[in-house]
Amino acid sequence: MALVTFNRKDLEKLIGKKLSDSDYTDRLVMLGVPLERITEEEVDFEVFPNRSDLLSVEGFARAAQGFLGIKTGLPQFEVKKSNFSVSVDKRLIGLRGCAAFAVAKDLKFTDESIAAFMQLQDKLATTIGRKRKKVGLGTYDLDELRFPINYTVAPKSTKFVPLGFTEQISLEEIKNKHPKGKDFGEMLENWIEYPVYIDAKKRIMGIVPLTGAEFAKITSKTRNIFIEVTGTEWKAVMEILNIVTTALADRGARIFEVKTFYPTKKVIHAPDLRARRMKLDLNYTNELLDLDLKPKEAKEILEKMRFGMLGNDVLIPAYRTDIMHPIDLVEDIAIGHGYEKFEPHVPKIATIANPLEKEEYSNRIREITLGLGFQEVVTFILSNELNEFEKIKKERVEHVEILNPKTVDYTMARLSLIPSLLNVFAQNQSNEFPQKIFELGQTVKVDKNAETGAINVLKLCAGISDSKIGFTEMKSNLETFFRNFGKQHGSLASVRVKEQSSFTNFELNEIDDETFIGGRAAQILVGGKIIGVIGEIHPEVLNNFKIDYPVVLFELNIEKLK
Amino acid sequence: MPEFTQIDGIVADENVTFKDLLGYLKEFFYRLGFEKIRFRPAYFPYTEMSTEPEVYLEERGEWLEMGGSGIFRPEVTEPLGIDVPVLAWGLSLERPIMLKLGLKDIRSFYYFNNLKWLREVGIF
Repeated sequence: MALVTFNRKDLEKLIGKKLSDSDYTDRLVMLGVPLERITEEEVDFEVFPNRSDLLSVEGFARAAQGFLGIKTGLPQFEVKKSNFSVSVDKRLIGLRGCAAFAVAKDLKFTDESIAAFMQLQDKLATTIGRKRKKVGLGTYDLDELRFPINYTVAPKSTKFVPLGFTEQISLEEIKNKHPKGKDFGEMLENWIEYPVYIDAKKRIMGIVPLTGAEFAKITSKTRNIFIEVTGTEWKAVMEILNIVTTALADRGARIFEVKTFYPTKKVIHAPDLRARRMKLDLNYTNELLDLDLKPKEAKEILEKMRFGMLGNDVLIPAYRTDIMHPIDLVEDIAIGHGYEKFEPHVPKIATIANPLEKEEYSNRIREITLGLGFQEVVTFILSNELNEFEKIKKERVEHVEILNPKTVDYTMARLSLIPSLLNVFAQNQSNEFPQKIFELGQTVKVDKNAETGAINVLKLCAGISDSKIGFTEMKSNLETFFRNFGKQHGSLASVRVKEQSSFTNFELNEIDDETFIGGRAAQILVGGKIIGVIGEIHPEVLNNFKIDYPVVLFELNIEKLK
Repeated sequence: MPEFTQIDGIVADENVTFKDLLGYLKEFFYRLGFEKIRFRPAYFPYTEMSTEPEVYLEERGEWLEMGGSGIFRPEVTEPLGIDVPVLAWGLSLERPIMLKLGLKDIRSFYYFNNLKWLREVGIF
């Protein structure tokens, strides 16, 4: 995604109509470009990666003209024959060997249009160009260059005057002295010699993909320009070249072809601004959109989106490289028709929905625990070793760690809800007591047999904090919880749980667990299986969490209750 | 925010259409209490049509994006042996709740867990 800023006066001049604020906020956004900011002078739009042609104010104006019905149909671009040529050194093949060029003549730059042109180059190199890694581009004053041009490599000690400099520096020095060299120089880390353009007078025109030479720089007086697009992938190189040349053509420039000679004798003629063709499947379109468009209406809509029609074929402008499949035309028809014109309706599908058993189960647990007067809290599943082990005085065990964690607070998936709940108590020391809270949440356990090496374990933890609180009170809460949990009635009757008696006959086995006070902690067993723990939190643990009042809690492994 | 709530939905059927997708989403937001809803075209690599539902906030005088949705591209569903349209959406829960409760800081949900506030705010 890219944010572009357009000068409103410039944009509206290109569109050919004065637009009101609501034309932007209500109409143009429906082309699929969220409006991020609007002032009297400027507008900021977010451009999605499928419509890179909208990164240029010219391309945006072209699309807006169609969408607003000012000028519709396929834009025509002429590419004139010429004798301009570039040859590519074989040492660049496979490294950064995709290169295509164009010449644009008779430009009349204004302050607005040159600023727009600079923004376009920057945005293209950042988005499609992946910060120049995949593709970079450069523009030069054509009148200063002599053809043929060579795309080749040069020793690191070779010197030239880069953009913005008055003295010669070496290619190697560019990497730490030139601002663009500092930003992008890392890309040339493993190169023995650096990729450069050299003109027929043997002058270095620029180092790829960092900077051009000062002698051929573009100014507001430049009339004719040479464009170079160089990268590692043909599709992206051509897309950028098409977007730049169509933008300049819309400013009134005449576009000329440049031939690229490859060592393999291959010759590339660029730019190719001819329209592509794709068959329109109107039945498919109407079915998916639930519309009843006649061929004539579909044609009108497509023309609004700046496509052409020839019989049953849609003519796709060269800058719309996102159209790959008939579904892409369907979407453009939907946008052209106007998303706001679609009447949403709830489908006529006869099904009876059922919550997942897991959800019914969880709801039941929540209902009972809330009924016991506990307040629900939600905390993060991500935690850290300090919380999960040290603070609750547990030995470290194998756990799911986070690779390259961003902060020390979140370095692992939690094993227990106890530290999470203790943290909530700690945060609420200044609030009213007693505090009764619970969380029903996921924990993560290492399991070698699982496909992912780990499994989720749903747990319930309920705790009370007050100045006078003890094991007995928590035990009576646990008893009530179990008594209700085993009941088969009401809306939850469909949920299969064990017989009530198996829960009401739960047992407690005293344990020695450092998290809890000795003699006031027990394992909870149902049918002989350990399913949880109950106890009074050890003062040392309370201290570790900076909790001033006693805490008593129980934690149940819900997976084992089923 | 290391964690947040995601609400995902998928509907696959022979005759579902784009209007059905909009219908589900409109109903969903309507029931959350948002009356003015629009669907702005958007882009996701795996859906076509793609749309981001937006709700209008009178007090702020602007549209606010609420999530992403679309119909899966045939290239995505065909390898799975599915040849019917598949509607899909992924929405957030935090944003509508923030709007409803007038919260300014998304961290109110998880970082603070202020029991006094939770008690007062009641059930959304």
